[in-house]
Amino acid sequence: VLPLLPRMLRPVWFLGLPLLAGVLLLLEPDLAVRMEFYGYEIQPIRLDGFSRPFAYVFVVIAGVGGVYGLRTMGVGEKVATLAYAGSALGVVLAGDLLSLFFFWELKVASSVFLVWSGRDPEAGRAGLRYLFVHLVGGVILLGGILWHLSDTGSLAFAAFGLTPATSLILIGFLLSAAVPPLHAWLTDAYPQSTAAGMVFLSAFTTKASVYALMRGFPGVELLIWLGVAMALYGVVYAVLENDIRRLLAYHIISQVGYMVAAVGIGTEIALNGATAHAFAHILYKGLLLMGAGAVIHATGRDRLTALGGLYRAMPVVFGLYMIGALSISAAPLFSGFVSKEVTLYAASAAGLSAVVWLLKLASIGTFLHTGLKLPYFTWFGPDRSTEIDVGPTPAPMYVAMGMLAALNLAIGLFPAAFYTLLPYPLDFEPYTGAKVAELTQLLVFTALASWWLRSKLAGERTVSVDADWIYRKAPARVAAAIGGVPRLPEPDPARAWDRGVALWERGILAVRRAVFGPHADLGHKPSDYPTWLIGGVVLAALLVTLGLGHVG
Amino acid sequence: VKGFWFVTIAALVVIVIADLLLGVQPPGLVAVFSFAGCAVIIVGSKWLGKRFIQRPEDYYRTQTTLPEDVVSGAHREERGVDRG
Repeated sequence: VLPLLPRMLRPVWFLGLPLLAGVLLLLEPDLAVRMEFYGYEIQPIRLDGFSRPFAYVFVVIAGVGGVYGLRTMGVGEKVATLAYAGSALGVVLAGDLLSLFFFWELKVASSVFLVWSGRDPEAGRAGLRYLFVHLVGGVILLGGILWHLSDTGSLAFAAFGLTPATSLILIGFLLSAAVPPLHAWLTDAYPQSTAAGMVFLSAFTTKASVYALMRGFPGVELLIWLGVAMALYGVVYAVLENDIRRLLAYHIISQVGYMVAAVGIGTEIALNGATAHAFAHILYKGLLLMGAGAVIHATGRDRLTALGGLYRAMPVVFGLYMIGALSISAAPLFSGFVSKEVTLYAASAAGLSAVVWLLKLASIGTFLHTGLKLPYFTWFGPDRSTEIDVGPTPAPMYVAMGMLAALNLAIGLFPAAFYTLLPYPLDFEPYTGAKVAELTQLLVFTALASWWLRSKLAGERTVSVDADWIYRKAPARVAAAIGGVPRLPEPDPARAWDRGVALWERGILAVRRAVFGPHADLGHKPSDYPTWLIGGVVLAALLVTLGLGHVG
Repeated sequence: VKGFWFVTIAALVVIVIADLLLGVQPPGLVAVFSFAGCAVIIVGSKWLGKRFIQRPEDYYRTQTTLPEDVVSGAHREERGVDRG
């Protein structure tokens, strides 16, 4: 609808919809809609203690992120954002597996446009890889759902026991939560998006998956260790990363690791911790990405090796960014402290002291990168301010960052009110002398050690190979090893088939140009169609097989 | 460098005293853990990076599909294209 509205009214629609959704959520805090769908009972809306906090924070970030991108996002990007936010809401509100899958795929299909809106050939290619990985994940998820349905005859989305069928569902969820080794799509694609696009991307997909894991697989012990591994994995890669938004993307993985570990612990306190951390994470990571996005928007640079000495040019952005950085680092008085301590408390209450210490180690890494390395080499460090051409930062960006900074401080200052949002009643006091002292020690001594080793911390002009190597580099290696891919025969205009293909490709190109502008075709290889053809056939065969299995 | 170690040790002393007053056992543990942990993260990750992970920036630049200057990152830095 958005492109059809006159230019003046567009902001009203773009920001009004999240606002309307928020009002509806507040008016109907226990809404549940059930209906019959081809003989199956489905429940498209289920608002309860689990889904409510996620729905609230999704609406908040959709609205505030919208303010942030008001001036900079294109119309198509805004449409995709609304569809993406809506389908993410659909995922957390879905009460059955069918609605869940529907919104799950809608979320993938709309979010890929945010990646593509980076309008860069590399963004186009990263978007295709993102789509490819998520489609595979979606098929696995759908396979699991159908198999589960034929096993139990139920589409209910509740805690599952681990069976072969639900394991497929679990894999689908883990892929979308970016659990290594199924995570590389995130760090590959997200940093290719626009400044505002990445704010939305970081908020919805992984957190909707954390919600799905909480619903479906609380207390699965494997998740504890996957979560801990994730938390540390992100930290290691963040040391090596030079691209500021990819650095923050690795910290999404790290932070989601806390949530996944908490889901694995599975006690009531732990699930409270996962919810609280997801809620706070969306707010502080949004703020961090807005800060980084503002720098990229103003300077056109996104590498630490190309930034430095910006403090005098962008002091306000620095201040707001640091509120986000202190929040993610769990500094007392900020939101991350209030939420992360719940998870750590749950782990120590469950007697998992190794988990507690490993997660503390990850916390050190978090502060090291987002609180020290990134701001130091962006706003201070080697002074490149004379060679950097700093453009203006639009006012809506400041407004949005201010709103998120205020929310992060509010959560940090009034934890008791924040805790009432969580699924289970929680009696927990984060502000004890011992906890404050512990976090102060952690932050101060991390800062001291990083100062000592600061020469090793500087960005390097490298890229890091990760699990995406498997589909980015390995095929070429294999092809080289077997002596090259057989080329397709040159199109022969005399044959009807080739004429049809050429026509089809021209049509596709025209659509792409219309949607993404004149650069759309740069990343496109005309000979991609066999891939799509084969993929389509495999997909169809899989669906037919599953359908037959279900009927039989 | 001398000043740095002086500050570090002074901070450690302050923290141990604070922990003793608050009754945290054993005093200063988290401080030492953080200092050592941070050093391990930096040195360990760099080692892993040099040994296994890091590649030149044009590692994924494919031979056939893109002209040199339109590959991500490098060109953005050099030309200063605004991607906002």
